[in-house]
Amino acid sequence: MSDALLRRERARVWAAGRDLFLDDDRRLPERVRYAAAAMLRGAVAAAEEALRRRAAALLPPGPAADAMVMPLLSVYDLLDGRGLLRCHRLTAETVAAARLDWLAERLSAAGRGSDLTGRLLDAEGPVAAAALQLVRAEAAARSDRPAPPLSPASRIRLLWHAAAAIRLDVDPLAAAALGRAAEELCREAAAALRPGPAASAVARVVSAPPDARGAMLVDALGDGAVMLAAAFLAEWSGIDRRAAAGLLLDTDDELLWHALRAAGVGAEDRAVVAAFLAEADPARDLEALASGLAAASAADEATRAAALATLRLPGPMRDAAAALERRGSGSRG
Amino acid sequence: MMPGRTPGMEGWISLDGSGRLLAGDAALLALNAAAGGGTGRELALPALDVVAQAARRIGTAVTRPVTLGGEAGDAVLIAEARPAQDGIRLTLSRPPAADVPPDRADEWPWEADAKLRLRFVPRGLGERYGFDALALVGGPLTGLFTITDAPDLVEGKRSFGARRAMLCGGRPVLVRGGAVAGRDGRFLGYRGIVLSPQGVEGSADRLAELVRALSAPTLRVVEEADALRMEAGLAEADWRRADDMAAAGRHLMALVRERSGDAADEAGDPAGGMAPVALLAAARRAAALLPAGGPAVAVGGAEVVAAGDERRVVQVLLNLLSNAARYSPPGEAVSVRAGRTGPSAWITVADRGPGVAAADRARVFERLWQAGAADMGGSGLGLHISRTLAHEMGGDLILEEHDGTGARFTLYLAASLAP
Repeated sequence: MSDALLRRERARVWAAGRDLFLDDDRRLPERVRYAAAAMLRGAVAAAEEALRRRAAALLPPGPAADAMVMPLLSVYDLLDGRGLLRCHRLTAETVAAARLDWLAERLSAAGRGSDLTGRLLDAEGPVAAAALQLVRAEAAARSDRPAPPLSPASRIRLLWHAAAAIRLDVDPLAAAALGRAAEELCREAAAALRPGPAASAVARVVSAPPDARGAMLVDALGDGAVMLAAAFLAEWSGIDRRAAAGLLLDTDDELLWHALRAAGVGAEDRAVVAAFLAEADPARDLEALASGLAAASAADEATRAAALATLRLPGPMRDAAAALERRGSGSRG
Repeated sequence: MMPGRTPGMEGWISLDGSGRLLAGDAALLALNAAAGGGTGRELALPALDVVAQAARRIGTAVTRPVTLGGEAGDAVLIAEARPAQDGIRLTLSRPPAADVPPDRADEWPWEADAKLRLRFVPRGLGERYGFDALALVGGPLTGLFTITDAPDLVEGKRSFGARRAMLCGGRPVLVRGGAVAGRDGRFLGYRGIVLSPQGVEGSADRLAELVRALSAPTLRVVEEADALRMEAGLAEADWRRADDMAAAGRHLMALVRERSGDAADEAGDPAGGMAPVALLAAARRAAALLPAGGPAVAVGGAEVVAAGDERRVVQVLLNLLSNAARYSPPGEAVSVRAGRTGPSAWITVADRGPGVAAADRARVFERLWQAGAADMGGSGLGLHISRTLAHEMGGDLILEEHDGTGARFTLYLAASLAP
């Protein structure tokens, strides 16, 4: 057997071993895995297409502009082959987007829609204005599918990597246009409307007395508006939105129930939230869900505050802490 | 033009680190030789050489379309060059089929809420026709389009078929909309499609072509079946078969006549009369039109009423049942179930045949697509037409993913507002 064959065989066995010994509870549902993979390809394709189109528009008509929009290499294959897509943040955002989509679809399919966003659009002043931004951000995100709504940081990183890859098959004049196109697109990415921040803006301006919060959260989940529900939960419980979205997606965590209590959501509405999530996601352990609910109901204020302390840290600090922990355990991200 | 094999070829060649030809399949070697090249020399096919050079320079796989000439004319092929251990391996293949079926490329979805505010329209529609589509989201639906001959049509909050409309910016298009109802029958909004006139004209041409092709043979089938029924001394079983044939033929003729009208008036109202349709009853009517001797059709469960056009619903179910019957193993029944999920009513036709291979799932609704051997019968048009009919009623037809054996198709329609 040649060295190349031996290397291939070793790589195959190594990959199969990783798959074989992966814990079931760490394994992504197949559908989410496929969706996340499609989103990752979509994100790279969107960055590449935007760069090529913008750079071609910056070039005078002619062979250089034509070559810019005629891909010679696969940017995805190149970035993947060099390991540049194996970024912790990019992976986390892509998988979270796929899981949120999946949960939203399952919740919507249950037919409990109340069109909370429509009611917010009917409201006066800043609430209607924030709701309008939210529906436009959601329409923009849906238009961009399969690319996920990445954070500006991830989008910018991807744009520069894609630009560097495209540079390999264009001439120096075109490469300069590519650089300018990337700069412009990075500025636009930083300012782009995204559903997450738009939902947070709605949650900030909605006046929700504690006794109305449970119903609003339940309505948002019934509509499949998971990002809006996460924004409400974050605003009312003092945690950040990404953390709140993570709690709604987690399968067996008491933290969601602590956060709901901290948000002022009553026991009855907490149970409705539990029922919605259990129905939408068959992987949730019903026993763990019930005992988590009961434990959170019985917990005192100090216990709840301690449980949520980490989630109340600023998002970048939690990211840094997680990175520190990964490096400490020897993995790279 | 270079001599050589018809350039629809697929093949491979390998080059050393300096770009000299090492080996390859016979056809590509012959093509290269005809262009003046040979083993141990640089590639004589410039289009392929460019791709190979790029892969060597960049150090990763490079794929691009290339045009090669041959005795039968030019052909566009896909060349992929991959760095190998000792040089470059280059393979040629045929281009894949387009991702988007051509007759769907000019369709753009839109959604509105109960207050007729536009809630979704893809950014691409605006980019195509020169306006900012996202800026219209949240505003009145009439900001996106106005139905030309009935500006107040959407106020009726009922499904409507393709109608001439004026898109934002003054471009004429066709628009159709399906009313979405809640569990309690409340109007929740619209889900619809904007069709560019170009796309619609194309589909109208195809429809007219199909109608012309179907009219004469359908009439002939009915006449023959009627004549057979009149024959003296016909056995009971044969008479029943002839009766089935005549009934099925008349049903098809009614559809052909109706579609002739659609084709003649491309901007007509293909949704026809939307009314409450009992789905299981429609399935029983469709099952009665199947030829005798096929698998049993088990229609079970509680009746569900959808908003649709009864004749179209029966036609879709007849197509699905015929399809299921064709692929069902002997002795296995085809099962039909119906239900409601939120604002939608659905009916599923499931068989226990070989199912649809994962690779084919995305293509089953394409025109002329057929699973397995061609001798299974069928025109390859049934599923394509069925999905078109479902869309015309503001619904959808999908191939379900499931773990069991067989294929499972589900027709989704808005649940009826009627009790």
